[in-house]
Amino acid sequence: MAKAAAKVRAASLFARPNAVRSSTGASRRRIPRGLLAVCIGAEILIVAPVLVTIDQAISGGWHAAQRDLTRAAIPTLLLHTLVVAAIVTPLCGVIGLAGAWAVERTRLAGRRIWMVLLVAPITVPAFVTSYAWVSVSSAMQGLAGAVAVTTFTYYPLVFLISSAALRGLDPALEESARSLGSRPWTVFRRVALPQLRPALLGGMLLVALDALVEFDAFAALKFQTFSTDVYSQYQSSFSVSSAAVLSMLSLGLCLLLLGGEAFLRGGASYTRVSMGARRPPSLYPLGRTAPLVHGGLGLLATAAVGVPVGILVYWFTQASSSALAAAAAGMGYLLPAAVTSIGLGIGGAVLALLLALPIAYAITRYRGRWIGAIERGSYLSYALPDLVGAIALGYAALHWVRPLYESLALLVVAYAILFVPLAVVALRTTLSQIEPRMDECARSLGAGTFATAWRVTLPVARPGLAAAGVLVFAFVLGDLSTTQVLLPPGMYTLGTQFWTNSSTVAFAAAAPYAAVLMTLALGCTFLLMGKFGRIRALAAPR
Amino acid sequence: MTAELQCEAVAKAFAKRTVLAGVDVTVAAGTLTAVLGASGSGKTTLLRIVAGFEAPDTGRVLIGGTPVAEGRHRAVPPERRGVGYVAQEGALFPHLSVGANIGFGLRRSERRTGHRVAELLDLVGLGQEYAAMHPHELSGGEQRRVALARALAPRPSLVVLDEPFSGLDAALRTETRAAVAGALSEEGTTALLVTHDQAEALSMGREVAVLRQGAMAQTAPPDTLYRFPVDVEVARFVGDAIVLDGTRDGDTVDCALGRLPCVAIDDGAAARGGVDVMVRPEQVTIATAVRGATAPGGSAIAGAGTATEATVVSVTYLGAEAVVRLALGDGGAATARVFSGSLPEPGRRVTARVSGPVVVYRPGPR
Repeated sequence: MAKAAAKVRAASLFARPNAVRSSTGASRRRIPRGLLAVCIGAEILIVAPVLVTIDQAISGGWHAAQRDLTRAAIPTLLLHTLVVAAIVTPLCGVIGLAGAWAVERTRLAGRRIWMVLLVAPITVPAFVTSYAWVSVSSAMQGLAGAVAVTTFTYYPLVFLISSAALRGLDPALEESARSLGSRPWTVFRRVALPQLRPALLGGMLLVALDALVEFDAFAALKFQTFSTDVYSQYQSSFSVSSAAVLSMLSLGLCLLLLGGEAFLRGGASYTRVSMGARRPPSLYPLGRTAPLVHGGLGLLATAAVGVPVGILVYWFTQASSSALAAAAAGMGYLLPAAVTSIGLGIGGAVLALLLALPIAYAITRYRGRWIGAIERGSYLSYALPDLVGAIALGYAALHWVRPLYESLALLVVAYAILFVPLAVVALRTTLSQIEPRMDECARSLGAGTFATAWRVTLPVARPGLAAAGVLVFAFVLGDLSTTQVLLPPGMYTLGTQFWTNSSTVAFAAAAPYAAVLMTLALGCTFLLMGKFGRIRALAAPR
Repeated sequence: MTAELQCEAVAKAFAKRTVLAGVDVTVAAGTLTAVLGASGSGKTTLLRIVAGFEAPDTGRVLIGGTPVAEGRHRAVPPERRGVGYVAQEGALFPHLSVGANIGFGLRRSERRTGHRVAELLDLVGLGQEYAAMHPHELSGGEQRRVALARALAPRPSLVVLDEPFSGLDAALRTETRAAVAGALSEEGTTALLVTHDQAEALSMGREVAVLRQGAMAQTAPPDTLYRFPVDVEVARFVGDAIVLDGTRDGDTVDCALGRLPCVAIDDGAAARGGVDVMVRPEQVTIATAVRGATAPGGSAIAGAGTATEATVVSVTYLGAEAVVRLALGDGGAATARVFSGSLPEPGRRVTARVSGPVVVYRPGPR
């Protein structure tokens, strides 16, 4: 007996189950100076509009600022903005996460089709969706429409990020929980959800920031928020400083949200130990809930994609012959507009990727006090209403980089800055799934930090790069306010042409532009669908 | 090309928990040392410090006499150490062919000619047709071989291997182990291998270092380690061990297995008096106790200790050999590892003999 006890003791000395390893087995060292410098350079560009706007707000003087901020309309605007963000953010979280779970983890009929339908709304320009809804019913003007359109436009962000995270989870975790007696709902709540938390919070943060500064949709829906008020202030008085002062409120809200997300996420990291899914996960049968799930998703797809497409078809079929003639006359603008839009989209996507890459690489590979600042700094491009950010960039170009003023290049820079958070999120989702040991192997073979990134990490992450690029491309196509401010005089895009025609109620003339936009959007969806959060994973050994 | 590795008093803590508490290891140029430790013993951390993925808190790492890490702040980055790294499960680059994987660390000119890649495929026993294949087309064992070829390609002075055979089935493991050992000795590369598998450590290492709770318990050639472990814990960790109470009298010890010749490793073991006696089960031979005769199934070896009466409790058949559990006269228990030719059934009275010297230690706390 005594010997047996001694044996147990000896064995327990060798096995220390709670031994600490370096948290992920990854080498999360301090960020190299060269990479840090590149990141800081990118961040300075991203934050530049904010700094210019702060300067403009200060330049108006304290009394003017006080007058701007104590206008009677301000509390209402604040309320509108906060209410929309407060409703839309959790709504997008629930819809996006439920959709992701249904598509990735249940025996849904036609999973791939649902995936396309659920991603599609993000690529449809918000101003097109808004016009579609307003023409369905004028009751959609105001809060209800604002909530509906923003939800339908932005829930796919949560959907994309959550389903990528779900795909990255080791199926063995859920299988273990099931073998321990957990029902699917319990598995979701106790195993999947805690691990999806960083991804979910990241997605909801983007939605909330978007909702705070959304302009195109709210303007179309005649819903008054800060962004639209900034626009009317600017139009009525051309007072740059008044617009800048108002923007300080949205900057404050943005900082509050960033702080809140940091607080909620706590120490949770995006980096996982598992190397992406090696085996397909087991799918849960829907059972009696099947009609409910299919019906719910069908309703969602109808509302988010069906309505804009349907209205577009309606415009085509219902137009009078005179309207069609007028539309035909305007067709000459279609091709140049498409070329300009696509060119801007590609330029914006490439530049956004260049800005996002070092940032995403740093935040998934390194640790330290700089990393949090780099990550959150990139979100500051959502701190300003688009219009104000664009004005700030125009101002900066006029004063400091004259050759860029009124050039397409400046517009491309503006797009890149505006959409860099999307690119960072898409890249982060992919990069964090790459086995850190692979980086280490490359380093031990003599490749430095940049060589490792160039020769190993980026090629493996190529699907993620493609997804990030496509996402930014789609958002550039769907942008209106930045385009209208910074587009060189005499030029036009699909978006501006649509806007011009639809605001004169020349719907038949607007329809072709919308059709091209929608076609491009759906093309983007197909590219996005399979690539978001994917890596070129090494399949399991035979 | 090949160089000696020295770790001097290497210490490392994560979040204030000590993982390595001053570890010394020296690997002679051109030899392989296996670091054997249970999970959590700090063996992977030691390897990562040698490879340069972590910096030690204190202590030094020298390769070929040149310091590559001295405490926390003076560390040569991994890409400039020339230390080949074979990760667990290979970690091959999925976007590159086998040939491009192996050629990854080569200079551009060398990569272009492809000679070195062909040479290495040969070295690890894979055909040239493998060069064009992709990692996902390989079996687990083939992936490990490619991982080793990739690490050896730039002719590193030192290779570190992190549990390179984990997850392989028994047959593939033996075969891959032989291929890896062959390739390493052919290249004459110094190697540090970490593993929790005793057989792997004992069969591959010129020396085996037992790491226990962040400190080296013993570093010795495999046979010395197995036959003369420094304490009972190490004895049990590197193999099965019978530990009995005994009374030592100089070169012999009296215990439940009779009066046996003994060796003391532990300085604290009294020359006369109570000791712990460690016997390896394969030292025990049994014979069925037929009066005046020796039955087959056990053989009396000349020079063995005195015979003891015992009762068979259970027999575990393992194929070529079997483990027989014995109840000894004083109520103690012992196991014998015997050839499985003819086995006694449980309940049978047998005589047990011990061949070769046993090892005695100062009695441990019970």
